[in-house]
Amino acid sequence: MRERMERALRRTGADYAEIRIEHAERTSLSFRGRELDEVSYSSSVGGVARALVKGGWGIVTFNEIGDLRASVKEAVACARLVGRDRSELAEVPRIDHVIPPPRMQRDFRGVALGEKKRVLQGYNDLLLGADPKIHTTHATYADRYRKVSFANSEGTYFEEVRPDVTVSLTAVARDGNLVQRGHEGMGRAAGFEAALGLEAKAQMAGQRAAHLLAAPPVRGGTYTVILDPKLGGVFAHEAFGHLSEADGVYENEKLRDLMVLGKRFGPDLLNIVDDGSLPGGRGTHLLDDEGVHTRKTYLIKEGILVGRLHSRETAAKMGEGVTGNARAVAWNFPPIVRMTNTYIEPGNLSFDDLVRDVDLGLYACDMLGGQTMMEMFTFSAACGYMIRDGKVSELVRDIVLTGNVFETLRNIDGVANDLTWADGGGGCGKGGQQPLPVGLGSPHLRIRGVVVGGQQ
Amino acid sequence: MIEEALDLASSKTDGAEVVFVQRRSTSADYEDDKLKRVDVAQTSQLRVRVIVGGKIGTAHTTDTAQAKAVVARAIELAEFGSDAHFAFPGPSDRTDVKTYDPAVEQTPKEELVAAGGEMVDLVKAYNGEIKVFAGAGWAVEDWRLANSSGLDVADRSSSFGIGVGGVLVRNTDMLFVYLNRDWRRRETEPRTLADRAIQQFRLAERTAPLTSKTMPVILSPRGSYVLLLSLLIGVNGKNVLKGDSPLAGRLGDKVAADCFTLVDDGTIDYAPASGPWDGEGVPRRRTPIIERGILRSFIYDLETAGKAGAHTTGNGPGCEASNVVIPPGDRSLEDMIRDTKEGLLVEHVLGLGQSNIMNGDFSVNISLGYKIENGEIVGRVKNAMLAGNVYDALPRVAALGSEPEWAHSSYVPPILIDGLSVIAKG
Repeated sequence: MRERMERALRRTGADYAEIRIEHAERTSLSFRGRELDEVSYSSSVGGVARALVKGGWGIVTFNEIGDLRASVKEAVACARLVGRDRSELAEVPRIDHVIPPPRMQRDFRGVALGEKKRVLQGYNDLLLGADPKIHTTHATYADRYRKVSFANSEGTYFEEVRPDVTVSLTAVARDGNLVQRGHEGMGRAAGFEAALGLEAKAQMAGQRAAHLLAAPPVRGGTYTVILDPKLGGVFAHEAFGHLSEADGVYENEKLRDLMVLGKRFGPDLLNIVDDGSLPGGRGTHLLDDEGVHTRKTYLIKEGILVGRLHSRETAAKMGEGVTGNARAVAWNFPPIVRMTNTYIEPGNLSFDDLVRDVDLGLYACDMLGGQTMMEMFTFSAACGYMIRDGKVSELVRDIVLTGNVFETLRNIDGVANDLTWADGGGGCGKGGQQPLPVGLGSPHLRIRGVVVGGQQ
Repeated sequence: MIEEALDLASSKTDGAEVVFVQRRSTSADYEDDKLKRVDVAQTSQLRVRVIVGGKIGTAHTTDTAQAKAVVARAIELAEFGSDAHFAFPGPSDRTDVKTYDPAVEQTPKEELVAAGGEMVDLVKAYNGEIKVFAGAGWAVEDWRLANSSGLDVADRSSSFGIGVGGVLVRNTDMLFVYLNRDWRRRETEPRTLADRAIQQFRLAERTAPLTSKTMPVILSPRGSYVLLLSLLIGVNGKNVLKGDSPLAGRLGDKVAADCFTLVDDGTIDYAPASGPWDGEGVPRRRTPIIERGILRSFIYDLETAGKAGAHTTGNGPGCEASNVVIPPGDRSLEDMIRDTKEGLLVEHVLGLGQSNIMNGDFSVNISLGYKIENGEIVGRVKNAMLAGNVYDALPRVAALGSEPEWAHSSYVPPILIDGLSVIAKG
């Protein structure tokens, strides 16, 4: 295959061309309530040819790994329609590397479906049995084995295997018309071993759903909010991380001015990092999908914007260094600028320090989801507790936090020393490419003046 | 290949279904005012579903050379699969609906590039500070389904989509507008769509102050998704069967205002979710879900209907709605605005789906919404949220506009709701 790919990339007439071919296999199972809802298997083979002519991209997606040369030619023809300028790509070292597969204690492709079902059913039984008010459940297991082969016209070639295994456990409790959910999950670039030993998570999800039935909805208003590490990680990723993706910035002068390096974004105690080379991270790869080494990139250091995430094109156009953040979610997509493992570095305070001087506030925990549109964000906490007179108090539900990311970052006034990774098993979505495995991490954070939605 | 896969599957199972989909598409995309890429894709997928010993197994692949292996995998999976409560349907009459326009795939790449460019130029001409993105593209899908009950049907469908939007940054304020239109026929003029995007930018030129209170809210056809998302989850037969939906057991009950009717209709010519058959080879149809406020039907596929003792509504597999139609009322949007002393017109929200949507709860950021004062739009609202519950709101639908519009696969008018909770920062 390598030879065919390399031959197809010779003398294309383009300024740059590449082919990425992927073989993937995925198995998934899900329970709803007592019943097995779905068992599914899929395999895929496909690829993308990408060509750059005078700064314009042509992209051809295909399933049939037939005439690769023809696919590249068509990509070049598409690119010719686009290019009016000049091609710019940051220079990177040529790579020739068949990366050894990551260690899986138990390769999930060799685990019998019966065992996968048994493990998931065990968790599902725990969800169902957590409380008499549990009405139904949604428990899923999925594994994906993805092998990427990449070649470009500069002579780079690499192969990388990317396993991903996820478990998602949701309990739904019901009391009359009131329905509440509890969710826990796991997602790791690992083997079947990662799907084992999640009994405590299952119980937690079940109990939370039941407890939330008795909790009052939070009263809408403006509060001092303490985010737990899971929610802090979503905040770093959704509210800020996406604005650090250079593809949204490099040709937008206004955004460039807003996101100018050296500008103060938060207090001294705030450090935000993206690191695709972090051992064991869910968003970790040796190379990105342009064959660039991943690395640790500070986005905010001591409150100052110091970096952003790049593809080869955005790095060249902005005159900044490459970061190895061009990623594609699957065979049928070209790489775009994405986060890898994004986290807020720990500070010096303990959780108790953060809570102690809050008279009336909210301790918001875990996430149901998050979304941003430019500087505005909303994210929902799975649950939360009121903070009264410096103490974590009663459980509340239906917490949706919203605001302007720049104001919110400035209003962070406490960072705890307890960095925790939330391996929730979800994924990031951008440009129709989802779910991309990413790592999210944060310590507890305290933020002043956060708008909390709720009925008044 | 389909015949081979079906023969193999049929010989070893109690029932089998094979679906083969081939898709071709071409698109041109502009970002930050510039043409960035032209894409061509040619993809295919083979899906196999079998029933063995009363249990279901499914498998799919993009690698058509693996047809036999995928059949074997589906059979293997059936051992662990869920119990089947249906049989694969036999031959039936095709629903008479148009899904293919040959002009769509005859559109050259250059024309897609030109359509996007026209929209970018129009928006830039209105305000050069807006960073514009736009795109145009087409797709053609050849679909064939064959099963062991003798059904063997095929359809060719086309779709043509254009979209335009932009971002306007002022200090730390970013205004985001995006409109798109997908249709199975090449019909929408780029100029029309660009003009509508410009109109939204115009209305948002000023911002209007807001204080938290309960006020009348008009959901635009795009904004109606605030109601539709939860409601469509609530009428999904699977959620009803599990008892998760608050609408479970409420057929025949009054769940919405008298003026409110909602129909699932997969038979509208050239509409995005129309087709002669659903994904299980059942003819698509028109199913009234809510009629004048009364809950009439849920949405079913074969398996769920089998379990629930109901009939499939041609929404398989998955019990997802096709095109959602809310018949219009008799008041123009202008009249609805003129009669509002203080209220909101909501175009776009952020964070929908993060609340307890099964329960009908919503608590969303208003990413594009306009304040109405004394019968006039006075500006865009910022840092505001809309909160409530769909099942509380439906009986309080006070009026429907007279001009429905397509928003994705919904054809809905503006919807006026009396009294929703609006939360302003501060």
